[in-house]
Amino acid sequence: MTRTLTIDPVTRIEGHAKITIQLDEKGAVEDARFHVNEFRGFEKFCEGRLLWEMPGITSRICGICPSSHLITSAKAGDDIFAVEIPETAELLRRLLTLGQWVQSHALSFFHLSSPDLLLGFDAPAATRNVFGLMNGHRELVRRGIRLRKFGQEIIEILGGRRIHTPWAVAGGVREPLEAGKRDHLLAWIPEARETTLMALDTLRKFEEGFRDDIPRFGTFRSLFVGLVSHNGALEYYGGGLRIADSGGNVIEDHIDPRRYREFFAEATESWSYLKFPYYRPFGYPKGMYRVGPLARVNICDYIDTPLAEAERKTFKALAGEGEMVTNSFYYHHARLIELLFCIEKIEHLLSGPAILGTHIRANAMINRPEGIGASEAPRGTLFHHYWVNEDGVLQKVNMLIATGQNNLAMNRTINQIAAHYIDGSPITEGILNRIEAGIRMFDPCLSCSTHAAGRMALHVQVLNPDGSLRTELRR
Amino acid sequence: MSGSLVIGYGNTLRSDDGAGVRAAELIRAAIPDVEVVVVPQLTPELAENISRYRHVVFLDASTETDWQTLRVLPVNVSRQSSAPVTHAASPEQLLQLSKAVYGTVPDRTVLVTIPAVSFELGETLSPLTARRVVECVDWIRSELSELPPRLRGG
Repeated sequence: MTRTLTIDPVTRIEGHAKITIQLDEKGAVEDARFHVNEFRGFEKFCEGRLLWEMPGITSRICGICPSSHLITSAKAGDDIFAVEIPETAELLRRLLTLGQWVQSHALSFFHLSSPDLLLGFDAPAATRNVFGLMNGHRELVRRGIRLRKFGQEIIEILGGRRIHTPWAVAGGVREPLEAGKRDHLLAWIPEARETTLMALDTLRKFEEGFRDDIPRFGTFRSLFVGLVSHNGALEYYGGGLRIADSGGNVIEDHIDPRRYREFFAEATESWSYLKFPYYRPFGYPKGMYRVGPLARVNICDYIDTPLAEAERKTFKALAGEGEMVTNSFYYHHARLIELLFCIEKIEHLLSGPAILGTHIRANAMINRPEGIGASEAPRGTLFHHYWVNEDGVLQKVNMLIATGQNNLAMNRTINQIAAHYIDGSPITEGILNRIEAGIRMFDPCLSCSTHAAGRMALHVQVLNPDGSLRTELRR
Repeated sequence: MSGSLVIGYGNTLRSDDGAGVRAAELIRAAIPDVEVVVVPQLTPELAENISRYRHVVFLDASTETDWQTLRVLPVNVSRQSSAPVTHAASPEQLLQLSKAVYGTVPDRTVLVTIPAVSFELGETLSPLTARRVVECVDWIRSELSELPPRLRGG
């Protein structure tokens, strides 16, 4: 007989996430769960604050993707103001969003995932880190640090500082871009492009070595959700929502993000503070969907920059004609395609004259009692939904966060990995690392998804049928 | 290689936690020759900045409450090579990364900790921490004057 162990998520553990793997009598996996144990409740304590403060406050949710919260919050403010912001303001917000993607995607690939990908899941834990990469991949590490720095510089130049800039506001942005700083950023482009292409080449080579692992790393059918432009291109700031299934069938298209509640609902489970969003018409948990790089590259009809579009076509060939790439392992690959898109798009934005415009803010007051902002954060679609009174005081806040939207898929992924590799034989560190890597593919941001402070850290426990601890891994 | 780099870090919205940032900003205003960087947390790309300097000073708040003065602690390359450098890093890890990636570390690196007593939401420093933050400017002046010529400027 097996035993279900109830794990209190309030228990203080190292880090903010825990995976438990429940074994049955035969030592096979009965269940695996990804627990998120922290809670901070931004939605609640923002009530009573002024709308004008919200971009600055919500950007504090996260130290990795603060600009995504900043932009999305400002867009919710635009909606409440009922204004169309000036062209230059939108271009600058787009530039900031791309800078955010660059620094976040670079961090995910070069710092967090490369040790697994380039050294292997079974490499000794003591060397499976960025220092271990120095043997044989020194140039890639050096370039990875520089690429992330490029993203940070975009944010710093626009916002005045690298993290938690209050630069975007309802109605536009606070400061324009100076020509000298534009030129400084343009000078980065050749190196950034070369680094990203080098990373793509490296990943392609090393993917071969994971031929046995890849089919077990989150391969399943699901819906995919993200923004696309009015003509179906990869989108990151505006556009409408597209929902497609694994067979490539578009179920909903060009949905105004302000209608998000018609399509998405959130379930809760007693064992995690991270909610479980799902596609409302399919119900819970059947309405599981994925967001982020894999979803975005899958669902768009094309990418409007040449190098990234060529990579997208090659990527899509991994799946059958017209179908989606359903393997979560390929989040890494899609993330690098998006990085390439960012570099090309940044160059395009910086090369146009409108980016240097000085009309950057539309002035307005409270014109609607409710507003919704949406954009694509590095990890997926982000929604901010505010209700205000006539003075602009927040009455209610709802945020639908990218990482949370992948929650069902992350749990499905670790179940699949654990079920394959844990078969009654001794459980190795390499197996536990594979399970952890299954989460890392999604690049979850737990600070955002629970609006909690902290960094991604994991605690994996394998439990015997009687609930006793068989083995564990802390990171 | 350049002269001195000061890195102040902390959260300025959590009262005394922002002491390192406040001190670094005072130093920037008072001593133009010193390169100053202020950040909420230490991140890997700072290793590149560090690799370009002979003398690096980290400024951070400290919760240790059994002393009430500035403390100056030497920072050496971390021996814990397994320590991951992810979203945030320690001064030791950044030195290690500087050495591993760029092949160099500063000749002298210290961490100056500033006593901090209040971490409540707010942008005001407690009286004790505010005094110690101001003292950081005098400390860095003294530190710079005592540096061997080879570590200064250039």
